[in-house]
Amino acid sequence: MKTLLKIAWRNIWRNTTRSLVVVISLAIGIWATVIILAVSDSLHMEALKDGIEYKYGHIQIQNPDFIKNEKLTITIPNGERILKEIRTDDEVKAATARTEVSGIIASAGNSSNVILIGILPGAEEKTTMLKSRLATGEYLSQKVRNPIILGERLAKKLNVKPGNKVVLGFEGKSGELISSTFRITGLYNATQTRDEEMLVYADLYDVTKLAGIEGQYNKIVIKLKEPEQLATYLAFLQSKFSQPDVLVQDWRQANPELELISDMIYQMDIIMTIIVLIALAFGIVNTMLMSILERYKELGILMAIGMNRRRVFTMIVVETTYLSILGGAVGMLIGFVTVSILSYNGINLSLFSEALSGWGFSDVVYPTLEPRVYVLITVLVILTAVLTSIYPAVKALMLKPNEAISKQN
Amino acid sequence: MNVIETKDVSKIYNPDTIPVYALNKVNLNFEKGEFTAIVGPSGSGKTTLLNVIGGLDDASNGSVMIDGSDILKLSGGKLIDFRLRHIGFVFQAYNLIPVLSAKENIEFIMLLQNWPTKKREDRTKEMLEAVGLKDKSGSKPSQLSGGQQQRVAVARALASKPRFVLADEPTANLDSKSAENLLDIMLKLNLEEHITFIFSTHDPRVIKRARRVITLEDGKVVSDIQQNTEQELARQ
Repeated sequence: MKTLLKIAWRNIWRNTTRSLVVVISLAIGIWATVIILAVSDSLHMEALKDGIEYKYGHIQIQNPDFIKNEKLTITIPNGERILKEIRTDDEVKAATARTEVSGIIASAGNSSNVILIGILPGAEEKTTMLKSRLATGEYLSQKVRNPIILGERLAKKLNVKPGNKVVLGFEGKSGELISSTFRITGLYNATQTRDEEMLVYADLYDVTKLAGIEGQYNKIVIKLKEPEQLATYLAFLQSKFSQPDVLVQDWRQANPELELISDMIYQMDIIMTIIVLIALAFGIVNTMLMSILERYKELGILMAIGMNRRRVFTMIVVETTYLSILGGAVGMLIGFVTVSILSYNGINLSLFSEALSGWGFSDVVYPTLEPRVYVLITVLVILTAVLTSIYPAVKALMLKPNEAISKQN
Repeated sequence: MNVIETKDVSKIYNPDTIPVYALNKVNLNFEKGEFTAIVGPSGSGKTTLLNVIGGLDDASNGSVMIDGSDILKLSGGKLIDFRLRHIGFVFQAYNLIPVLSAKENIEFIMLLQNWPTKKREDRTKEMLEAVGLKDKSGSKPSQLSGGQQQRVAVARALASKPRFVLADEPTANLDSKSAENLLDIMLKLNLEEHITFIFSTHDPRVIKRARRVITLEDGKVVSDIQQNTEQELARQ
């Protein structure tokens, strides 16, 4: 075996240019895969973080009827008690409650459709990072009556700024139109354009008071200490509140669009990787077939003097494996260095900012890739190379020694 | 004692259309320690006969008995193993493994036969000395002259002590000095190691030094002559 390894190693350097071309192509392919996966992985993580950290938390509780018909009055039975109980659980980092209702916001010059979200200032900051997105002004300040915060895009559309008043209209308890004046205390920005244009945040107390449903919630949002405990704790809550008018869901179930983005990115990653592996496979087949054709006579001699088919097959597979390991190692190394630099400096994608914000991605991406993905790519590359080398190796085995020997070079 | 026995060996191309006989009912016996030249014009079947005896080519009819076994009936894997264990090949174009040094080329077959390291290294050294290339052990084939490469090829063929060596026009690509030198080495090893040599040739120098000369024409044996070599004549 040692001799086979030695011959295979020397064979790949018989045509240095060709071997280097293969190694470089492999390296570039792997480098590109690493970068693409790192960028998409980071976008993916950011979309999840945006969803979990800023909006949905890990677990949501709501009345199942509220999903079908988002009415302010469809609340969680005993919502206050449930919230209180959940906050005492060890697994829970924080929990908050919300009301949600569609409405119309109007300024002196313009109006827009919005979703009014009533939040519990104090509890919301512990559960989500909404407050960290405040770009101008103050959070829901208690110094003013009916404080409200808007997205910057909506404020621009309405031509308002902190300190201005807006009128909010929404459907009340009995279907009547409730209209009230709110004062803008701050403006926030969001990665998703739609959020910045549609979501306005007010104090839950003010909203429920206006609607006449004080002490009632449409949603309870829970953030866990350890996200890994999600499945266990979700099952616990689902069992604890197994009643028809209480629905306990994790972020995936409660927000299918987030899962859709996850799935989409995951599938794109798979497609990209498969494309690179296919290109790589064709490159290897081409190179190894060339190499075998060039050495047709020599392989015939080897078989004539007693090198059996198993050894010839192994030698060719080993040659391919050497090339792929070299290309893989170089590709991984430059991929790792590139990702490390980019994860520090970021990639500015502001050119595509409109499209990215539609999916909840920010303008600057800081790519990172988990070590297991590097390992996975390496294994896939080597596996592809070895599997691909089977065809040229089998072709080599089909040669007849006497014909190969009599072949003129 | 016969080492090789061919019985009615024929090799026919295009048997169903216009049959061409590369070999036509060849019956030959080769004994241990022979130094035999197969001669004849181009296309007479010399290389085909060597290929059939060496299991590199099939015969259309007949049998090639070696130690009581018909090698024409051996399957692919067993045939390769048979060649590895019993036959040494020397080709016209040397055909050394270009990525291996002279020493590595010589020990290659012994490695395939799993010889113990010490025994293998001793034998390689012995063969390098026998062919006069002790100082070229680390040279790659591309760094050796044609004559030196063919000497390495002979050393490779003999290193594992095969039952017989088949050489297809071994001196065809060599100048007269290298050819004489190679013949000296082959004869010396034939006498010292009692290995049977069968080689095809056009070279009168080789024919002159063979102990037996078989002449083929159109695939048929037309003469089979025992002769005294110059060395034996000189000795007498």
